[in-house]
Amino acid sequence: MSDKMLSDQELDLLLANASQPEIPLDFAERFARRIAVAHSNNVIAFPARKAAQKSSSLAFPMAAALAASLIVGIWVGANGQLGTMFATQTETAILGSSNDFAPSGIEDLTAVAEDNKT
Amino acid sequence: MAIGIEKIPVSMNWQTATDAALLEASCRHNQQAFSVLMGRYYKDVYRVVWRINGGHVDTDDVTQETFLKLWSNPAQIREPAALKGWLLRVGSNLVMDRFRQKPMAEIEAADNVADNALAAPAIIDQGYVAKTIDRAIADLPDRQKLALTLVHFEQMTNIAAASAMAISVDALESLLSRARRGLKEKLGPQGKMLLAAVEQGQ
Repeated sequence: MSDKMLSDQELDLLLANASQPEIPLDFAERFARRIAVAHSNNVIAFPARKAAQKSSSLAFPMAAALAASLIVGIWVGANGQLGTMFATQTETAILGSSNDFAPSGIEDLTAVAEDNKT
Repeated sequence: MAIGIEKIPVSMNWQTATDAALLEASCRHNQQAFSVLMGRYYKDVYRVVWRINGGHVDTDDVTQETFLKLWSNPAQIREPAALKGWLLRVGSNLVMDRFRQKPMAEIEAADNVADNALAAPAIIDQGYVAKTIDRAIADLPDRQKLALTLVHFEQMTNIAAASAMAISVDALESLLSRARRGLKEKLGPQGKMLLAAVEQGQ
């Protein structure tokens, strides 16, 4: 080893001059506070269970109305009454072949104007 | 409170109780017994943690966390005679884990960490010697630093230090040897100057 390097004894002598920590004296008190906090964190507060809500006074009338509309729907369907609400194929054909003309846009208006000129 | 604290007779003197008795009482969450146990070892843990983390401000927090781990489950200590070694191992592991997670910039920004750019003063005083040695120790790898701390600063035997680090005695001696060689290389020729200043001051 080089003469410039420290020997083991010299290193030990230097290490004896290293800094030493200042140990806090109130460590135990602060630790006691910390475990008190840790304990309090372990307690989990559960909210009180809510009481089951009573059924609303409107529940029965609403159920009755829904049931009535269902019954009417079944009755209408079962008697074939639903077909009268729509136009028959013949009526649709007649409506489609009508000569009534109602202009529906600017192009139709120019076409009508040209027809009138001739 | 989630954990019950044991009520004990006032006349009970825990100061003279053995570690085994204190641990047993601590298992029943006896705060007085645990307090005595902590009083016996917290300075050792504090010094080792301080040395490993280079005097960082987190030393107190890490030491408390070490005892919090013991308090939360004292029954994990199978051998009461090995309590000190367990505490030192847990403390050093905690500080190594914590510093591994933190960016180095934050660590170096701490006030208590030795300045890496110490300029040699005209007259080398004791403070400069101490800071230079602290910095050289702080630069060692963690395991080497721990081995050096336990054997040199805590005056533990190689067997006790190896047990505390959970390694073989051969592995400990290897770490020690590398730590000492590393220190000599880091201090370099400046080491002789520091030594001269120390001898002059004595």
